[in-house]
Amino acid sequence: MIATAMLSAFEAFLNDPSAVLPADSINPDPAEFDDSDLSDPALAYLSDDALPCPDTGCIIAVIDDAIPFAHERLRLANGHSRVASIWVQDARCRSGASGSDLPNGIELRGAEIDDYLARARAGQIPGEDAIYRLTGVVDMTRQTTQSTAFAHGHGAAVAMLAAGFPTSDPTGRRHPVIAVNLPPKLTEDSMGTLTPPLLLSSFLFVIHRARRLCRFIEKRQGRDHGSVRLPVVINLSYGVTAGARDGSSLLELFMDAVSQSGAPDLGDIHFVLPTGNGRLERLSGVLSPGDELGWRLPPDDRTMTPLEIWGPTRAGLESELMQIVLTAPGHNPVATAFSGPWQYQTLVSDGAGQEIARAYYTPRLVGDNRWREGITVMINPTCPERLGEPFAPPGNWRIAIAGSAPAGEYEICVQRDEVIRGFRSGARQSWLIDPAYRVHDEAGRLILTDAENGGAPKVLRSRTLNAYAGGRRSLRAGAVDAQRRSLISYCSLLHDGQGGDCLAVVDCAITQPGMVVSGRSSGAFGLLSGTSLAAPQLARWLATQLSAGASVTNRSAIRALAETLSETPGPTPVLPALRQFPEF
Amino acid sequence: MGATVELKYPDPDPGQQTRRAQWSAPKVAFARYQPGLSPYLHYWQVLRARRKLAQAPTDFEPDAGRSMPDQMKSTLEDLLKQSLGS
Repeated sequence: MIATAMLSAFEAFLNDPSAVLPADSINPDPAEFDDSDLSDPALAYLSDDALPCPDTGCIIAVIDDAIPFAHERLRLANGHSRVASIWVQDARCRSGASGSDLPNGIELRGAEIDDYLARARAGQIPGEDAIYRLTGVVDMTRQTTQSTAFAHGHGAAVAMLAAGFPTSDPTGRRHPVIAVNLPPKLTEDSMGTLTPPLLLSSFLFVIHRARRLCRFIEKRQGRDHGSVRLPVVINLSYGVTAGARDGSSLLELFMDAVSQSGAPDLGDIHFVLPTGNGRLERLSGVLSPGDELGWRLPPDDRTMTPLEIWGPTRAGLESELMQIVLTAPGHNPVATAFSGPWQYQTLVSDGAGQEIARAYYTPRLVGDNRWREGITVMINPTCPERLGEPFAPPGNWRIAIAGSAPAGEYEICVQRDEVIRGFRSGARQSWLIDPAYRVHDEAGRLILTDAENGGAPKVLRSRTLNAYAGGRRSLRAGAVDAQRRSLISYCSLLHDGQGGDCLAVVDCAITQPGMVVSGRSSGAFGLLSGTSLAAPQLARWLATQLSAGASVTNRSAIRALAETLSETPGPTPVLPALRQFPEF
Repeated sequence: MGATVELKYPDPDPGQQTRRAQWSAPKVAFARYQPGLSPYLHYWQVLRARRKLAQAPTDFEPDAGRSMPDQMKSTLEDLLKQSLGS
């Protein structure tokens, strides 16, 4: 039962979810999941006229913000929805409907969406917007950012790039859609503070409903149990900039394990993520023992400012532990003094004795008694969110690896801390300061690689990938411009300096950023940019290849296939440009 | 600006050491299968507790954090079992 999984996994979080989820979204009494979804027409995933062929079908799953499930690009020519299921995590919970097994929010299945679409076509309700309001997905009385009402939001663009097909394109029927609308407060928090439990529960939901959809197809078409095993491509266009980036976080471990083992009654499962947009943000670097970097904290930042340091792997934690030294403006240097895993300590206090900087010791076991040490530093906001709360001084902080630390590379990464378009959080991005880092060359052009920088900068442009995408099996999509097919300046780099496993066209040109993307309403469009738009193109391309019978089970095989089909195969294959809006 | 708090290590007195380095509530998260949440969640919970929006997180005993990797492994296995089924 999926609810049990979520509740047992995140019990403490669900006991106090009010930071992210409205109280009325919580399901007070999650029900057992039963087989009624296979027999009750009201709980059906798709109309019989929208079911994919078991031999060519491939599910596309999108986890994002404000996905417009009633959009014309998610329908077939016969008017039926291709959305088998969508979980709106922060909507007001309802009883006696699909999704009663979920811990929060509502679930809408294809049958219910079809019903709304039919009523809209008959003129009984005034169009798509009314569908979102009647289902509670848009509710202007709620105290939250109304991203589901944005004209062209992130989720609309991503979902249509991944899974949108013109109704005239019969290919669309091959790709049923399972979606998750994440709570706006999760999107607003660029640091991903509370993201892991909701992302993990989203993964569980997608996999569970994908399995049920396969059983549903078997039932409707009179096939043997377990004979329909559709592959699933899951797009997650989210990311953060700080983390170990070695696949050791629970999110990365989960994605790797699921991709590797799969489910016995489901096809292959692939995860696609953006490489990231932080190449030139000066958020990542590498230090040796004794090295020091500046760290600029801007004023008027109303959110905390985190930074993570990840050391080399070492055998055991019996000897002296990793130590860093933090210096706040106007304060003396302070060294950490941890004696065991998962301790934290106050590093800096203000004149009133209130804490303004703290450090956590967060080592991870990465093998046979092999540990990778980590320290996370948290600085208070430089502008207090509430009167009387302690705040940190803005300006030049310094962070160093103690000279006595074990030899090796210490990766340092500043957490993403910015205002997401459309949301108001009062965040301001901090960054690292390294005198050897050059922003522009003599001609005034941006320096795009560490090699072009020259010297030996400690702040790097490589190793800047999305910290959710450090696993062994997830696919990373980078962005190129349409004119030159070259990496866009913001596109993060992997450890080997490449922009991802595959690249997709996003910006028009280096002088013309942005891509025309679908908006929330059918026919609407907007202009967006970023590797968030590359990931769904890779997800779509992969789903198309799997649907066509390609047998690619891992990252290298997928990349090799992309190389054979690309006009620009190297150094990283560029996918064929997507024609979203065909000319008539 | 306020006075700097300096912590020193090692401390020969185990009792003294316990008082100096607090034992973190990220252990709570791990005990409840939440390894992906901390330390951000812990910081967030402390902030919410200070604002009287939530209960203060509970600290744990020394050495409790050493069992964290095993808990993370069991968490992963539990999640896989729940999502992939038999």
